[in-house]
Amino acid sequence: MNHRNREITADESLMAQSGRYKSVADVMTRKTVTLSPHHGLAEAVSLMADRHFRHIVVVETGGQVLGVISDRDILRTLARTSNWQTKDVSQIMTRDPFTVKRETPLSLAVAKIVSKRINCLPVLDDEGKVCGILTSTDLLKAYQKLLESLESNRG
Amino acid sequence: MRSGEPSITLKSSALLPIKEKRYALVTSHCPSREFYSMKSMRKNRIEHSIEFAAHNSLTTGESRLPPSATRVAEVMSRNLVTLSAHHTFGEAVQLMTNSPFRHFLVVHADGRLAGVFSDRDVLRALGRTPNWQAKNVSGVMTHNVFTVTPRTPLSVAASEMLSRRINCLPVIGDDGKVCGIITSTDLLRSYQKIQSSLENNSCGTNEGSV
Repeated sequence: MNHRNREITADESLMAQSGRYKSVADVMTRKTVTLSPHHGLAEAVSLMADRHFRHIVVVETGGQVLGVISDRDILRTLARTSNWQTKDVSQIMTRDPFTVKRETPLSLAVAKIVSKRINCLPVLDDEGKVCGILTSTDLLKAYQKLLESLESNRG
Repeated sequence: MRSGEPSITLKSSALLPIKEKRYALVTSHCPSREFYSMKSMRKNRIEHSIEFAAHNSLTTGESRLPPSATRVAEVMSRNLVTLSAHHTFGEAVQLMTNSPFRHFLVVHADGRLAGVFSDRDVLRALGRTPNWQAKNVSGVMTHNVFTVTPRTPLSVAASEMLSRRINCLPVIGDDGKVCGIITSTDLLRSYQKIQSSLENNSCGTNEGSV
C-alpha cells in the first residue's frame, strides 16, 4: 500500500517493534518524488493518481524547497477554472511551507501539523535542501504502532 | 476525573462494608473509573479494608509508560454539525465554507447515520458537475460508511483510517444512533500528548519539552 520507496535501518526496525519513535528521521519517507515549479498541473495530477500521493514538494534545481502542492489545492483549482490545463505547479502551490529537520522531535512535528492545519512537512537537511517528506499519514502509522505496542504491554 | 489517568485499580467489586456511608461503589476492570470517597481523598489514603491491586505498567519491567487514551470514547468529539440527506448541495457548500470542519455527517431524522461527506467530496463534485446547484447532499455523500463505537480501541480506529484512506469515522452508540465523530486530527492530538511525555521521560527530565 505504501508506494514510496523507503530504507529501513536496523535501529528503525528495533524501534518499530517497540513502537518508540523519537524524531522525524524515524518516521519520514526518504526517497521522495519532487516537482519543479515549471511542471504542468496535469503532471501533478497524474503523479498523485499513480502513486497515491496527496502532497508533492516543489523544489528548485538546487534542491531548495519552494512550496508544497496538495490534492486539495488541485481540486480547488479544478472546481474554479475551466482552463486548468494551462496552469503550472508554481501558480497553485503553497509557497514557503512549514518544514522540519531530521532531528526535530516527533511531538513538535505533530504539533505543527495539528496547529497549522496542514498534512505535509518537507524535511530539510542542514543546507536547507529537501531530504524527505513527513505527512500526517506517516504520523498516524507511527501512532498506530505505538498504540499496538502499548496494548500488548498492558496485556 | 480524567479517564485512563489513575494508576491503581481497586480490585474488590462490591459495595464496601465501611462505616462511612459515603464510600462509593468500587468497580474492577475499569482502570478509567475509580471512585474514592471524599473522606479518603481528603486524608489522602485508602482504607485498610479495601484490597487493591497495582495495575500499573511499571511492573512489567518496561520503561515508564505514561497513561494514555486507548478507546474512541476518550478522543472523539461529541459536538456535531450534521445535515440531512435532503439538504441541497449549495447548503452543504455554505456549511463547509463557514465551518472549520472538513467532514460532515448526514443523519436521518431519527439520528441514525445516512452518510458522510468531506470537503474533498464537495470539491470533486464542484469540479465535475456542471449543474451542481440541482443536486442534494445524498448525491455527494458516501453511503456505505465504516463506523466505530465508543469502545472501539484507538489502534483499530487508526488502522481502519489508514487502510481505507479516510480521515473520519462516525461513532455509533448502543442505540444505533450517531453519538460522535473521530477524525485523524483527533488521533494526532492524542498522539502529540503521549509522544511528548515519552520524549520527556527518555530524556530523564520531566521539565518542559525538548
